[in-house]
Amino acid sequence: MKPFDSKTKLAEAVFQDFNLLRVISRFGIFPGFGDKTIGEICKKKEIDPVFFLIIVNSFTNKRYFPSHELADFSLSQMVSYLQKTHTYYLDFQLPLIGDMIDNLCNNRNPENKKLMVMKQFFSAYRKELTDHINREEKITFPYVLRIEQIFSNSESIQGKESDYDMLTYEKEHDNVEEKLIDLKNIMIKYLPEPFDHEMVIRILTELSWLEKDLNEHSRIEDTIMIPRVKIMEVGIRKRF
Amino acid sequence: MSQLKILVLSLSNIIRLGIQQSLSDLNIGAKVYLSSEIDSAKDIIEKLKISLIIVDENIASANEFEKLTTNPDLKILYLSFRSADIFEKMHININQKELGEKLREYINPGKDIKNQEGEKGLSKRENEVVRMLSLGAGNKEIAQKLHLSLHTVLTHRKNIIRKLGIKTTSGITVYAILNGIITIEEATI
Ligand SMILES: [Fe+2]
Ligand SMILES: [Fe+2]
Repeated sequence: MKPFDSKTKLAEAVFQDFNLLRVISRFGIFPGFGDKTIGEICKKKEIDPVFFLIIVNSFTNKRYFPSHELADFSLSQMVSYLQKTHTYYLDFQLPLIGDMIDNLCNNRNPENKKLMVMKQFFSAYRKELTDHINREEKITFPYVLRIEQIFSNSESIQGKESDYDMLTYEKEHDNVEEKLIDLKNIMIKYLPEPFDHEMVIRILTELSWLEKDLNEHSRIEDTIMIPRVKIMEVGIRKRF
Repeated sequence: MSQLKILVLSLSNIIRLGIQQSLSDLNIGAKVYLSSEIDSAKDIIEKLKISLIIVDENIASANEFEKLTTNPDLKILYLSFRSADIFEKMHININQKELGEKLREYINPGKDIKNQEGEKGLSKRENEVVRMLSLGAGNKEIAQKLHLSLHTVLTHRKNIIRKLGIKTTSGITVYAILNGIITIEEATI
């Protein structure tokens, strides 16, 4: 499949992978974009088309890996995208799944007390993901933005920043999908009857979407953000 | 159960990225690190607790490379351009399916995927381990109470993960409750 470019009509890209709608909504783009191309829409919405294309292409094609374009967009733009994704998890996707699981467990018709454990498991997972996100928001992203600023202003690294670096982040950046995969697995294989079958299918659909989206999100953090910041770190160290 | 961490060591950027992509296509949940020189590789191996290294044989002779690590659990797989005549080597032209099989063999030697298909459910001992894990016991405690060696407990745990497809301890606890191995009141998730 040929990667999308700025002349591709956005609607065509969405037809190829419907879930793209969820991704582009983070850029403030919603259905109703007519026959406009990606380039036209980006211009109107003041979005950097290079960055937009990296996100859209890597989402629809796992093998897509941006090469020379990589140097062309700002990290603050990437951080803002990653933050919007975090907000989406915390304010939308996790509450949505939480409500559905509550519904599954509290359903008295049929009643099944054992299902309550799914609620506990999900809230443990929710806390784990929330902690992961909060740490990135409080420590990692401010650091990344600071490094970009220092790099472009030819400043030196002083004081606090030197305690933390991308290697520290890389080491502690753990896989947040393990519990999620277990949750899916248990729902598919080990849920004892009776339960609301239709609700379980809907929960699994949303869990699978979260898993794919998280995978993609972590891939941007691991393969695009970390290497770029590391290059800047080396550049800054060499200066002094 | 820690995550599988793989370091790919090659002078060639194309090879590094190619292996990284193939590993990610396998969807085995491994975290992949790349390196192009032995010194920085050594650093990564120590700091990040790498469990498997895939090394381009052009970068070093086998003995040279083995000196780098003293950790007996660390496995090294050589990427060969000539022939993959020994178990520790794989050929550069390996296809995706073979790569998956090779890694599985390499990471769990002696365990053939085909043998697993006949296995259904957990053995009595494995159920006891699930029960204790769910009650919050650690490996040592389980070994003492069930009069097993630590090694045997670890083997049971690996088999439980493989049979159930559940990796986290809290996931196993949920399984135990749903299957009536423990009650919801006994557990902490
Ligand atoms: Fe994140
Ligand atoms: Fe993350």
